[in-house]
Amino acid sequence: MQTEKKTRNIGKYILLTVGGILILIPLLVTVFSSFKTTKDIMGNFFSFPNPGTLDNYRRLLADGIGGYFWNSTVITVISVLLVMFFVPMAAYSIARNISKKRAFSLMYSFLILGIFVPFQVIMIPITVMMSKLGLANMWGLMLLYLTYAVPQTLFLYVGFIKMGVPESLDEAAEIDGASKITTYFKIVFPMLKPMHATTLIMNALWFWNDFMLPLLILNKDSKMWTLPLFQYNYQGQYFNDYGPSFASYVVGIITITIVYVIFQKNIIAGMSNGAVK
Amino acid sequence: MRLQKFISKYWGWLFLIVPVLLQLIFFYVPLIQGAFYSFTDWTGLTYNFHLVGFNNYKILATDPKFMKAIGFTIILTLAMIIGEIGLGILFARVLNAKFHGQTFFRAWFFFPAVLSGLTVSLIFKQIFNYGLPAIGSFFGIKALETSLLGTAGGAIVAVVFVMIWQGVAMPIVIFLAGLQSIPEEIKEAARIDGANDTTIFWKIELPYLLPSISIVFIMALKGGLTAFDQIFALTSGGPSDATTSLGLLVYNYAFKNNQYGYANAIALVLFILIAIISLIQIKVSQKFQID
Repeated sequence: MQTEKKTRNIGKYILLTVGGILILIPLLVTVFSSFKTTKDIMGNFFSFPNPGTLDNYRRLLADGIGGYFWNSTVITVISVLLVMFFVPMAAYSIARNISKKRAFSLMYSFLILGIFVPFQVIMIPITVMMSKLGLANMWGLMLLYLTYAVPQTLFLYVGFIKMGVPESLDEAAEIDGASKITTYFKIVFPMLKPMHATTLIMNALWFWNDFMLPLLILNKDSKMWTLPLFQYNYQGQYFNDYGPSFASYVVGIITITIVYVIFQKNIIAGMSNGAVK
Repeated sequence: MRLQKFISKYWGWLFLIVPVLLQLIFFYVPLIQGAFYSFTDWTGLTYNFHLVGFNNYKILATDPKFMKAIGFTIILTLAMIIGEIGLGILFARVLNAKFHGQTFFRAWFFFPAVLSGLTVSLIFKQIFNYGLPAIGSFFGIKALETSLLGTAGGAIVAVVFVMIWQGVAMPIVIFLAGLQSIPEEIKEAARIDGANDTTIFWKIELPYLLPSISIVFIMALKGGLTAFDQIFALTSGGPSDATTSLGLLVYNYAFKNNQYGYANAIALVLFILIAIISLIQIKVSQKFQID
């Protein structure tokens, strides 16, 4: 019995180690390679940088990584703020009116139908439309992120408000003379904090990591590229020179890692909440 | 004063108006356009096109590229479902036990989920092109000496591996939450009655995990059917279309072959597939509403 338990424990540690290493290796290779010359990368793929060099990062800076990083940051931050402003507000309106007026229950279906539609169905028309409207730029991309974040985010907020924010609170505030707008911003919005954390994380990671929409909307103008779009085009451009590309991956991964280390608990909870519901 | 009256009467619509307009313009209009184009021969290069009825859908039925894409998409989706559920439960059970460094390992195993699928795939592309061949020639393993991405079979394995490498992170956390919802007393009582770990897994843990399994099943299914970024970066659908998924095929027909009409027909087929699955998802999650 004792020995059986011991072998099982050893088995568990082996699994953990193998899994852990499988996750570690690609990340480690990326960091090492970013300090290696291309010759060293191709010759000794898994080795420690020898000799180490900062040339890849110098080249990356010279090729304008700062600008692409800035684009990604601006797009992510503004899009998330737009979502956080418009969607909980709409969710509040739906949650309070859906059982009273049929029009609102129709609007709810109208707004969340997007959950069922794969992006490929609208991919071609939306690409054509954005360039026709002169919105094939960062601003257009933010509008699209706001639009496409609505179904899932709204669905989460409506559920949360129905369950967690009793209508008697609104009524109490209104008896005290508060308008609907005051009630929403002063009382309801702060009460949605747990859901804000979930939707913020879910959407921010999506916007930061997204590749497809930037590829469709921003690819023509290299000044507007986001970090993933830059990474993709960069490795294609330096076909036989891998060092700078690896450095560009490190920039993306480091940023996420810092955020992850700080907000780890919230991120794990937020992302799995978003996925489960 | 009149403004206040207006707001107190119409606040419900005021709060809704922006999302409704955005959905209308940037979702419903292109959705209808897309459906319409699927019945035309539009190339996307000029504004001339003709209505061709169901012709695109007829061509689809005999298009070898479409058949190949369906085949690969099914392989990928099945592999992702089996891999994410199997490995997800396996690692969740290991991480559920009490041991030193538990918090660290949980965070570590979730980490791939926050990375960009594109970046991860670009990294693995280099590993498959230079890393694995290095290992292959070091150990004298013939099969690994050339890049995995060069052969059809190898490329499929590579895509599946990368999708699961990243895709299993979220299921682990979902299954972990499922395991933690099992009351400790039930397992205690079973142990006192002489049940071993295997029995406990099949008779207690697995039934408790069913809702989580249905969630992960749908997640993996949708992920597989619409896969794009990772494949685009890793193989671009090659060699000779062996790893072209439905999602990638739509993109290729539209923006490489300039067959906007035909590409939209493929997208619509994908839509119907996903719509059916989503309806099942709603039914299932209603059944398994936990909290």
